[in-house]
Amino acid sequence: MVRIRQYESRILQEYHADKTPAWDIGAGLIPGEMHLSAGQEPAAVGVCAHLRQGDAITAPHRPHHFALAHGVDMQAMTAEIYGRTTGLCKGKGGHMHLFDPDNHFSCSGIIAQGYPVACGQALAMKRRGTDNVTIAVAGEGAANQGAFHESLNLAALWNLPVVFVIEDNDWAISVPRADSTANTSNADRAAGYGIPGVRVENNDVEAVYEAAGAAIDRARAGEGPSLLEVHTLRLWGHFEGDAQAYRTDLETVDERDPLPRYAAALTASGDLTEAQMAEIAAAANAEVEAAIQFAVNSPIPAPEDALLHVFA
Amino acid sequence: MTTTETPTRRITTAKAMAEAIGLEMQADPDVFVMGEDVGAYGGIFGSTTDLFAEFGPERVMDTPISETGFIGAGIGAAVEGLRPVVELMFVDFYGVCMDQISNHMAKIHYESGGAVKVPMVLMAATGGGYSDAAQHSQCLWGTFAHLPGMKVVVPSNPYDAKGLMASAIRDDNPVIYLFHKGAQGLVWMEKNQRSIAHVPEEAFTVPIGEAAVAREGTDVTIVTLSLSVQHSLDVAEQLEGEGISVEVVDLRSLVPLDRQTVLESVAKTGRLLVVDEDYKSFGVSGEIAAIVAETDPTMLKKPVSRLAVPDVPIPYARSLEYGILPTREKISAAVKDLVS
Amino acid sequence: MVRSTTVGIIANPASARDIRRLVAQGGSLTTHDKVNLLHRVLAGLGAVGVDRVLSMADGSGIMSGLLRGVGRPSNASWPELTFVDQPITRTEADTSTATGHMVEAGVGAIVVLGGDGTNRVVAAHAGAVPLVSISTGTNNAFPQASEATVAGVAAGLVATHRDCRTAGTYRAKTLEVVSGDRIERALVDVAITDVDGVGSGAVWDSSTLRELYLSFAEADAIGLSAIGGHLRPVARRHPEGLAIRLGEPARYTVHPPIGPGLLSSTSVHTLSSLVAGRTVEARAASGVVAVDGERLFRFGIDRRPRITLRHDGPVVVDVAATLRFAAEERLLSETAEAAEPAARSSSSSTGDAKQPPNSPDEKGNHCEATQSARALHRDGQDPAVRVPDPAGVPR
Repeated sequence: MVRIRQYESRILQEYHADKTPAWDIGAGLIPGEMHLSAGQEPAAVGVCAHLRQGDAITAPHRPHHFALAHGVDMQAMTAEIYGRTTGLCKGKGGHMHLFDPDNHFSCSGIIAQGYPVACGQALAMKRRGTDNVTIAVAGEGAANQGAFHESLNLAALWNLPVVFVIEDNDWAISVPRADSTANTSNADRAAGYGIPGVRVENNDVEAVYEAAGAAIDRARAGEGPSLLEVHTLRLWGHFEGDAQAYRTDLETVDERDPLPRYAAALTASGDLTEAQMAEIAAAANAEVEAAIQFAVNSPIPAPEDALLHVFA
Repeated sequence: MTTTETPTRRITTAKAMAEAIGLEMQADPDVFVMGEDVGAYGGIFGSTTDLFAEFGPERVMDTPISETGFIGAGIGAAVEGLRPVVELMFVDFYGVCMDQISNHMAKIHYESGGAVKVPMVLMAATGGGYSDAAQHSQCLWGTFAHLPGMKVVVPSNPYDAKGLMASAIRDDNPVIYLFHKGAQGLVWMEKNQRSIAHVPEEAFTVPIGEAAVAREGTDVTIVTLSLSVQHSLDVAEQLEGEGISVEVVDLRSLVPLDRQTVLESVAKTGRLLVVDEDYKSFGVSGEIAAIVAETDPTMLKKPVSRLAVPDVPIPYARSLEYGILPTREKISAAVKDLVS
Repeated sequence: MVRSTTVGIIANPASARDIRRLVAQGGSLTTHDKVNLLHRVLAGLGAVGVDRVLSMADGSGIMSGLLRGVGRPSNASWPELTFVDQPITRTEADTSTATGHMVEAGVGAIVVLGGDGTNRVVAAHAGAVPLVSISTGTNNAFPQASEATVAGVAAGLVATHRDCRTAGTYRAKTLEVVSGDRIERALVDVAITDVDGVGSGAVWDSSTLRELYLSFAEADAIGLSAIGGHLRPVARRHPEGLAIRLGEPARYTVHPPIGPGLLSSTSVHTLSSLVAGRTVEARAASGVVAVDGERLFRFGIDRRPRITLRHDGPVVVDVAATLRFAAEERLLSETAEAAEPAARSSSSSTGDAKQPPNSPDEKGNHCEATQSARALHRDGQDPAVRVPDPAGVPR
């Protein structure tokens, strides 16, 4: 979680560093929309800790935490975000379209549309007789998409080894869940498809870890899909540059930050010393700085390369 | 045609498609079929006839009416290395699943910088002529061909249907395979005799991206595709008696497009008629005309003629529908107009 | 004297969505189901003259679901619906805050929708306000089965009618567990486990159990208390509790349902009675304490838990007893003036008592059986009044 937070914090700085004085979303070393995952680390870490070689993830437009937790190479990912030839996708995908076939990691900028793809990956795993699983990630706003419901139905019908993860960060861009969703718990929606749905409150990484473990074990054992909703926190804006004037919960955001809270709990219980904490932070810092340096020093793609890779 | 084959073996386009899929499934365990009513029913337009009996429900999977779900699942399976053949029952249903088709199936390879392949076939029934009206009669191949990242093949006869299907399944790219209902050779629909023809029993391929000169001629080139190829050949035979020599180019693939065959034919005849059952504006007919215009407009003795659906939804009443479809009569008139 | 009667409602929006849906066959009671149960409760309350309901606020759909029902013709008999003005934290603090507000507001009863965990939190803050518990959790030994409409009627009767309260309630036992400066109260069970941490809270693996302390143990229970229930049942109103040491060497093996659909072989080493007021210390030097099925905290040798059975638990409404009493007291029936003779002969022929032994008049009630329950079954009782303990459990 520290590693992810350090990454997002540095991307945040780098993203904004060269967009002044007149803020231009397309300017700078990191151009384009940027959706950072600070505050949502527990969902990614608690889930991905159970994954092994061959397990797949489809992530949405806010993918960095799941990518890093799933073992996507930080340097290649950063180079992609910087739009360099050494990036995961040679600069063609960008931060919402990270693909790492070695780790079976992909994301899509169209919310909920990674869910059907995840079902297909799970179908392939099942057909091949492996005990691999697929994790499909989406936000609570995405759960009103047809793709969400079609996927739950397919997965239940075909008993696919997929775990649907809903990150409920309370806000679908600017719309709170109460204004968008007749059914307030996506764990309940799972019931409509006859699959178990669990909701973890309070962004609690240990609770996510345990529930995800049970869900993933179940999928591996051939007992079928399940849904895990994590009540998490969007620490920052929907995208960078979002003034969040609509947000009514800003004053409690800092106190709900899962990182200091978990660090305090671990320190209090004697599981983590200040020295260990510093060591973890230093390692994360070094890794992130190296990734950024790698990206900055990598070549910019030639314009004519835009014509490559339409077809295999 | 080799002499070892029974010359009397004539099959429909639908059967040719199913046969190709079956042969690929026998050869490669990663090939499987998904779609609505592809199982025991055998596909509403016969494209999976008898496959269910041979391969069972594990490899010929009936899906819920859930196009986003199962097309997305096809993509996911393809990403993991399987070779799904997915049927979208009517191409008109693209509206409920276009995000999976365009934003995912067609873009993943490019977005990933070539790292991820999507070896998938998405087949769909196209075309009208039997009063199924505006939501079940469209061709829409121009729409798919317009969007980058997917190959688009459009067979017009049983032989090409089998060979293009084999190529599509073996291709490492997503291939949209659009078959015309009126060219399937279905017993329950008016059909052209060209929808039943000799097809070799063994597996073979027709390369994607190569047009065919379906009939040679010297006066006029008709560039066309799908069922309109059959109509154009009928017209060409008829006009031969009237002293007009028509060359018919069957595009067979829209993506990639065989520009060379088109240009060679037009260079020979100097007259170009494009016949397309899809909507006229911003589509295949305009694209073919543009290729000629961009290459050498002086090869044309007369301006390009286009016969396509005149930018209206497909109407229901037979009189209305045939009022806008590219019929033999209209093709014939257009050819005569060009040589006059 | 007729005065306003308010009943509180606590519905835990998070109940039944825990990990037991994955590791056992935990049910899928949805928010809509909970709102539906509350509709029934409201109908029951309204039918016996409760005129105001004070409900917990939540941001998870229960409050908004109830509000959507207000004003519909079919809900005309509902009491006025009000909500506690409270911050929403989505933690158990929401439950305790709401309970505190309800006690302060003088509610005559609190209807609780949740499992053992929810009831534990309510009980800790409810003082002497009677609780009607409707099971919606996944770990439910404390709430006794009752249909929500009927539970609403019972809650309304207890809130509006002093004698119903006397006849229909009892004082539950609790288990106090003290570890260092931490004090928790269990309604049903305290478990000492050797699980690594608190995690998702739930306890579902009986092999992790080392010690178990039970305030009661019913043989037909679901949950950890079934371990005791299968060996030596202890009634809810029996003065003693049960202490169990688990593991080897096992003197007994039981196969109780410790979660929905989850029956597991459990080795029991020894079994002993827990005497009220007599504190016992956990034997384990370290572990995790689970209270009413939820892991709450870790302890080390310096904070070894001490457990005491007490008779100072919440006042609990026995729905069946309340309704039976009310029926016998003619609180649930009206006799039309014109039909009186016929009714009389009919009742005498069937042996039904026209004037049952515990008739309202004999008890000196303010009620008259010939008038509507809604109008008259308010006795102006003071919610703060101390409750007699009909179970006779010594304090």
